[in-house]
Parts: sequence; structure tokens; C-alpha cells
Amino acid sequence: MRRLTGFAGVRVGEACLPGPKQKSPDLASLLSINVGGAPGAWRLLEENCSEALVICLQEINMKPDEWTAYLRMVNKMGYNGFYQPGPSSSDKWGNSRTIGGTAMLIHRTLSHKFAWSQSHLGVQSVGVWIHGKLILNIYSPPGHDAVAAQLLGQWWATNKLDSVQWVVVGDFNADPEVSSAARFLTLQKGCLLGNPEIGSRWDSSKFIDWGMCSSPEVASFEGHHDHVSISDHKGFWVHVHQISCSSIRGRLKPAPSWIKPSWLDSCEWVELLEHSWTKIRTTPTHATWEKSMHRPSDSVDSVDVQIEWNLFIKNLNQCFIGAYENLMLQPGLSDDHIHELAQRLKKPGRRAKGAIATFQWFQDACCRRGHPNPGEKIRKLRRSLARLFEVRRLVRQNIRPPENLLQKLWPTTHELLSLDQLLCLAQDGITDVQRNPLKRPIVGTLDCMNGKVRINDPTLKGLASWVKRKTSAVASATVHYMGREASQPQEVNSLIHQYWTDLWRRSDIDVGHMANKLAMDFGPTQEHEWQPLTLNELWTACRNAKGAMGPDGYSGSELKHMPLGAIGDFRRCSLRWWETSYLPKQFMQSRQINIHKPHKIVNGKAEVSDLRPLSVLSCFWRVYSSAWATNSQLAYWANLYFDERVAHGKGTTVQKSWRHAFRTNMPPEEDT
Amino acid sequence: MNPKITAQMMRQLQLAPSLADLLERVWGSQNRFLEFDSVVHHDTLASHCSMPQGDPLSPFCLALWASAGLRHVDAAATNTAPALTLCYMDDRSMWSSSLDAIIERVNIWSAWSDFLKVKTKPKLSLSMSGIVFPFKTYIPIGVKMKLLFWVCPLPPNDGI
Repeated sequence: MRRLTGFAGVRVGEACLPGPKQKSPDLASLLSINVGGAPGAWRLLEENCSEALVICLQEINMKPDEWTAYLRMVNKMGYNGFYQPGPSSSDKWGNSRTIGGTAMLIHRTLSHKFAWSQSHLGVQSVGVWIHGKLILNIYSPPGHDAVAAQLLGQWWATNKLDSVQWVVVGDFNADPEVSSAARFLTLQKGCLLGNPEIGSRWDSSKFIDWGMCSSPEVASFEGHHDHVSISDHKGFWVHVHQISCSSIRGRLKPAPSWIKPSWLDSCEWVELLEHSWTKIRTTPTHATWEKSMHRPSDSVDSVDVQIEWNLFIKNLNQCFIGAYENLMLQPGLSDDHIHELAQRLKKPGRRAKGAIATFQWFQDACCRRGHPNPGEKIRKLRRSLARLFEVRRLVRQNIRPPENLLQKLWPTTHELLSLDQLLCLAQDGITDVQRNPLKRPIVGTLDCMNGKVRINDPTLKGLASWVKRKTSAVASATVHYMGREASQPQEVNSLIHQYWTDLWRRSDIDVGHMANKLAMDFGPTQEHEWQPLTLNELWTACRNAKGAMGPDGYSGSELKHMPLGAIGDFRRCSLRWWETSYLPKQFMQSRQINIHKPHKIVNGKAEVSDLRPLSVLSCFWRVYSSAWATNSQLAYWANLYFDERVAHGKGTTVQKSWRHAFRTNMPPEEDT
Repeated sequence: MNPKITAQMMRQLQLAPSLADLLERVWGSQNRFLEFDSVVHHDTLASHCSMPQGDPLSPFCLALWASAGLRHVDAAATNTAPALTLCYMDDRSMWSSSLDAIIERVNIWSAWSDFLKVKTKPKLSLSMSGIVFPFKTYIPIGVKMKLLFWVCPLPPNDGI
């Protein structure tokens, strides 16, 4: 094999960023097309929006409810949509239909803000600000050229566009040489975007789809969209300059998910975990934890509590890994089962599992035209290929590769591998990756299957939530706070952060005074002897665990299969908290997931205060807290002292009060 | 609702003081990772004065506050017309045969909430007060409702 580039020297370590460097260009690709009705608009979605970042659609003829359905799909594809419907008319059968209409789809990676939309005497326009530039989309039906010019005049008067950069595109149904709209834009120092020598429709030489921009530096014409036919119009491409597309996103450091293998039932999986836990009890890590737990609580501080918890988590992680590894050794497993287990074991981020959550930036894939950013998935693939090739190259030269490189490829077995074995493994790895690099992971397929199982649940709960999700209104809007507006998730997060910080800054309270007032209003109580949670209570709470993963990466579906020994250790940790009042830092972290309340969105806008904040705490704390919430001591106390008109959970006395209130107040004929 | 007040109240009521300490620590020093549209904000939000909605013990603690509030309203109300207030989580429903009795109770609730800096929804209170709902439109038990005022004849000697 001949080397193509580079020198034949000895490499030290590994390449820090394998693969060619790709910098996103400083421009946005804009596609303007007359889709000739709703079917054309749907066809464009099937074409993955032709990978444009900004799409200007004309004549989409959609009614508002059709647009809602369309917008739902558009949102799923990562775009925000803005629509200005045209006038309605009735056909000879009395059915109403919408004529014309313009829409703009903007990819969420672009920072944008809705400007204005207007329908004027049959001409529609919609505009969006992107990075300080106004992108305006117009549809002017045949014979409405003067109205289009009038509408543009309104835009200039309303938005004071004399001193800003703008791009106007659309279907004007008139040649720019004779169009009043073009004349108006030329007077605003506009430059033509388009090629007058080529017809803008497939079967006509007329040049009626064109655009103009405030200066040649703002945008450039890139040709017609002539490789796919969406409608009778070809559509055309424009590059809008000096617009950067942000594909950097924030996330919590990911951790593997250790859920039950798909072919086992819960009992079998728990049994495997129990078996794995018996091995864990003989490890040095568990011995260290035991030694730590034998210290008296009065000599323990917050650091010790943190160390104890971290050791417990380490043991638990090792228990899950051990169970998967033992399962892999069992005879009679099919290839699919082995593949599933291998994928679970291969998932990176073991150290993050159960640990204090950390934030990290990552590069999201942005497969848009002009932005060939491969995203993290492809980069990982390239990195692993580079490592495997490096191992193969060195082994062929009879050199043992550096240990840190081997550890990254085969973390558990790298020390035992001979050169021959390394060569075989590297060769297999390369073949495996090259065979089908983007094969859908089996774990994702299993998640889909689990979703189908939920829908077929005889209680109809899963089906009901699926139907609700499908029929719910589209919850996508720009978010406002204190005169600021945000459309990109990162910007919205900043507004949310600002809102809550401002809200809590104002809260200046006298804790002692208020607590006294509340205790006085509540009434007198007697002293009780409070005991910590029993193993049985914690075991029940663990087995009933459910819900999303907390910041530490553990979810309810993982905790509900914890082996009894691990629950016992969990309880011993909790006794330490009970005695010292110190808690691991993992419990002081939570995820606040903010979602739109659809009914609060007005004209595509929502206030920050109208977002619904859902807090997700560590699943271990939720289990502990849940065990207390159902604890018999607390229930007894609540029965003694809570007002019976207050409900705080299932089976509380208020339900009887409700029933009583209904029965005593309902007229007899209604009480059926 | 401030976790420090809740914990202090629990201690004063001699309600599991060790648990109160733990709750104060967890709720009073939360670092929240803000998420919107699956994107996490780089800066955590330090939260020290709110009770997390997702904690299984939050409804229990909320019931402590609601019980205190209900008893305060009972003690402070002067209108003798029979009235019933029921609480389900953060929603309250008030019934009475007298509109004056309801308005008085709403005002006492509002003053009590203001004193304790509990966030309420004044718009809802204003729009709903005084509206008489017909029987048939009554919302069944378990359905989410905020503040509902119900003016209807209560039977005599109801004991409420």
C-alpha cells in the first residue's frame, strides 16, 4: 500500500482530531420556491427541505389547520415556521379554500426573530430577521404587481428599512424589467438576485421568480434548483452572507443506560444482578466502603459522606457491568442478543454514571447545504477508525502500540492481548466499522419496540398519551422577557435563567417569623419518636421506582432492578445522612426542563413566566423521598394533624370530604 | 415556597427533624441545569427558595402549608354563612351559599398568601370571583382546577 501524504516517521500518541478539519462557512443557504399548493410543500419536506437553512415558500394554499399539521412536521425536522395565509374563497360546492400564502422555514441553528407579516389585496408577505438582516418573502399573483410595490412600501415605512441590510425574494409574476416592485426595490439601491436569461419555470422562459438584496455583499445568486422538480416552478438558491450557523449545543455529560436486556424478564435480570452483587462484595472497593461505613457518625463530615456515596455508586456500576458480562458468557444467546449486550457495554461515559453531573459542549450534526458539519457521531466513528488503523500499522511493524491507545479501544482486556490478537481485533474492528458505519443501533430499535408495547397496553394509558401527543397543538414559539426575544434554545435558556434569577433575587424574607406564623396557624402537635427508613420501605420504593433520569444519569428503570444487597448498602448510606444531615452533592443537582404551555402561546409568542418548569432530581433521592412519602410514621402523623380538607396524595381523607360535599349539595336527580 | 421556612416549620411541629434537615439541604441548595428543547444551559441556576415540583415529598409539605392556611382562614372569617374550602395540591375550591362569605375567605387567603410570599394568580381570582356555575358544569373529582368559587345552597346543620 502506497502512502498518499505525510512522512513515514514514528508517530507519538494519537492524532487529537482525526479526520479533516471542517469549518462552517459564514453564510446561509436560502431556497425560494413557489410550491404551487400544499402537495408541493409536503413534497419539499420529503426532499429533506433540500438541505436549505432558510426556505421561502410561495403559494402554499394551506388552511390554518393544514398549516398546523405542516408546522408539526417542520418542527420535527428542526425548523421554525412562519406563515401568512392568503385570502379565502369558496368554490362552486361551497367549500372554502385559501388562495396564495407565503411561509418561511428557518433552521433552529440560525438565530432569528419574526419581523412582520401582511396580506394586502391578494399579495402576501412574511419577514424574518436573521443576524440583523431582514429576509422578506413575497407572493404576488398575476396582475398584482402594483399591489406588491405598495406592500413593499408598507414594509419600508413600518420597519424603517433604509439603513438595514435586506433580502427580498419571491414569486412576483412579473419580469424585473417591467415590474413596479422591482422598480421600488431598485430605488432602495437593490441588486438583482437571479439570472434573467433562464426561465424560472420548467416549461417557460419567463423570468418571474427573483429576488433583490440591499448590496452585493449581503447575498448572492447561486443558481436554480433544477435537479428536483417540486412544482411547475424551479425555485432558486441564494447565499446570504455573514450569517453563522451555530451547531454547538450544551448537554450534561452522557452516561450509559443499564436497563434490562430485552429478552429477560424482571426476575431473571434481578437474579443476574444479585449474582453479580455477590462478586462485588468481595472486591477491594466494597471493602473500602465497608471500612468507611464502620466509622462512627460523629467523626464523619460532608467529604466522607460524598466519598461513601461515590464508592457505593462505583460498586453499583460495576454490578451492572458484571451482570452484562456474565450474561454474554451464557451459552445459547443469539447474535442479536450478543450485539445488544456489546452495544450496552461499549457505551462511553461510565465514569459519569451516578457521578456529580457536569456540563459539556458538543457539536451537533447540521446536515444543511453549505454546512457539512458531520456531528459528534461521525467524528467518533472517524476517531475509532483512526485508532484501529494506528494499532494495525504498529502491530504490522512488530511494535506494541502505546498502552493508553489500547486502553481506549479495549478498556478491560488490553493488557492481556498479544500482538497477533491485537492485529486480529484491529482488523475485525475496521471491517465492522466500515461494513455499515451508520447502522441504526439496536438499542434505538428496542426503544421503538418498547414504545409500541406501551401503546398496546390494555389499560389504554399508553395509547391515550400517544393520541394526546399526536393531537396536541404545536408548542413552538419565540420566548419573551423584559423586551428581549429568543428563538434559539440556547438564547431561551438565557432568558429563563435571567427570569428565575430576577424572581428569586426579590424574595427577601424573615424565615423565623414566617415559620412561627405557619406553625401557629397549623396548631399544636405532640412530640413523636421518629425512626429512619426500614430496609423493607426502601426496597418497596426501589421496586416502584420510575421516571426520567436525574442529572446523575440513573433512571427509575435501572433502580427498580437493584439487587437486595445494593439496596441494603443504599439504606446504610441513608442512615448516615439521617445521623449527620450531610448529603452527597448529586442530590443537590436537578434538571429543570422547560416546556411550552400550548394554550399560553399567542401569535407565536410566549412569555418566560408561561413556560412550565419540570424539575427532575436524582433518582436515588426520589426513591428515598418516595419511601418517606409512603412511610407509616408520616401517614400516621398526617392523619392526626392534617386538616381533612387538604389532599396530598392517594387515599387521603379529603377524597371523602369531596364525596361528602357532592352528595350533600347535589340535587337528587343529579346524584347518579 | 421557601424550603427553609418549611424545614423550620417541620422542626417547630416536631415533625421528623432529621428529615427536615435533609429536605432543607436538598431543596435549599439546588443547582439546576436548565433545559429547553433538549439543550442544556451552560450556567446552572442556583435555587435556594423554591420547593422542587418533582420531589415526592413536595405534596406532603404543600399540605402542611395548606392546612395552616385553611385553619387561619377559618379562624379569621367573620361571616357566619356556611362555607366549605377544599384543597387539592395547589388548587383551592370554595363553596358557600353566600357570595359575601366566599369573597371574605378569598380576601383572607390572599392576605395570608401575601404575608408568606406565596405566589398566587390574582388574575384568576378576580375573573372567577362571584361567578355562579350551574350544577351540570361542575368538574368531577381529580380533574385539575385552580381557584373555583361555588355559590350554592348548603343544607342546614351541615356541620361545616
